[in-house]
Amino acid sequence: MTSAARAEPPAGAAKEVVDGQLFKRSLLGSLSWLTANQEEVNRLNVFPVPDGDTGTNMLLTLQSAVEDIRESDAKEISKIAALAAHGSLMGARGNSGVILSQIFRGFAKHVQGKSELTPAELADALEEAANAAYRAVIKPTEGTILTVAREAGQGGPGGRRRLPGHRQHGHRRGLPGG
Amino acid sequence: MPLSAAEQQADPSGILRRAQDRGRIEVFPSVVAAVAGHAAVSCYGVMGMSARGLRDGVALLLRRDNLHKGVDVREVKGHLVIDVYVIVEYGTRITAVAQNLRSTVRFEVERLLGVPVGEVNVFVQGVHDERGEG
Repeated sequence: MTSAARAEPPAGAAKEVVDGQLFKRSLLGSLSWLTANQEEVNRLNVFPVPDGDTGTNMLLTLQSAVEDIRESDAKEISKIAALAAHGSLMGARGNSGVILSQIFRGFAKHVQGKSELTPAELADALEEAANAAYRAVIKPTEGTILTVAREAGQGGPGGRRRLPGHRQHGHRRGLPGG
Repeated sequence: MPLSAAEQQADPSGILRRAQDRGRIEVFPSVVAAVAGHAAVSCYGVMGMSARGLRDGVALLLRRDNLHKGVDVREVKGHLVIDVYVIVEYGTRITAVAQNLRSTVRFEVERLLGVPVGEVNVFVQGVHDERGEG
């Protein structure tokens, strides 16, 4: 995120990579965060139908995504990502759940065959995940989970800071407050 | 304010009428279809509308200016019934996409036209497979 973070690590520093088990832990951590903040996300739900179920839908989808991962001791990130993609597809609920499953699908496709990712590769994978999510809708609506996914990829080290799918959306910053 | 089923009168032409003290509002089924069509294509996972009925077994993807052709609006026992015919992105959970589509179409039609919607039926006529992505 800062220019220092994007610089090459100094020689002799420990190699920073994300493998299957670290990715697994991060997904389980995400699940805890979402569980804790479910109601707040529900309150943010204004689009397309303001029925206040986004947090619940995402939580159910994420629960389904990590279901098969809990027991997995796979070292390869590709295997964990594929499990997450499959689980989230099967359990997708609501708009944000369907989008979340597409994000996992795009991520899994991008890391196929890889056992671990460097920070730059992780940023690429997140960007590609957002691209995949944007491709499954004719008119992407900014300020939704799509924006969050896109900016997550662009914000990482080596993030290319371009718009996914070369879409014409202009605004870069500013998630909706409510 | 939405019309109640009792206030709403359908005439043989299918026009929804709303009688008021000074004048009235009529909404044609084609307007309901246009609103429903636009709501449908804004839904995540919906890649297009398709014309009702398969032509030689092939779902026809509709262009933007005739989205309403992928929507059928009827009135059954005083309730508005909307059928939407869509193409869905391959690899999404189609039941979830269809469920989202139903609630979005209902919400938008009721919000913009004030007409209560009885049913929204979704017909998935094809899947769109995104290949050749770079």
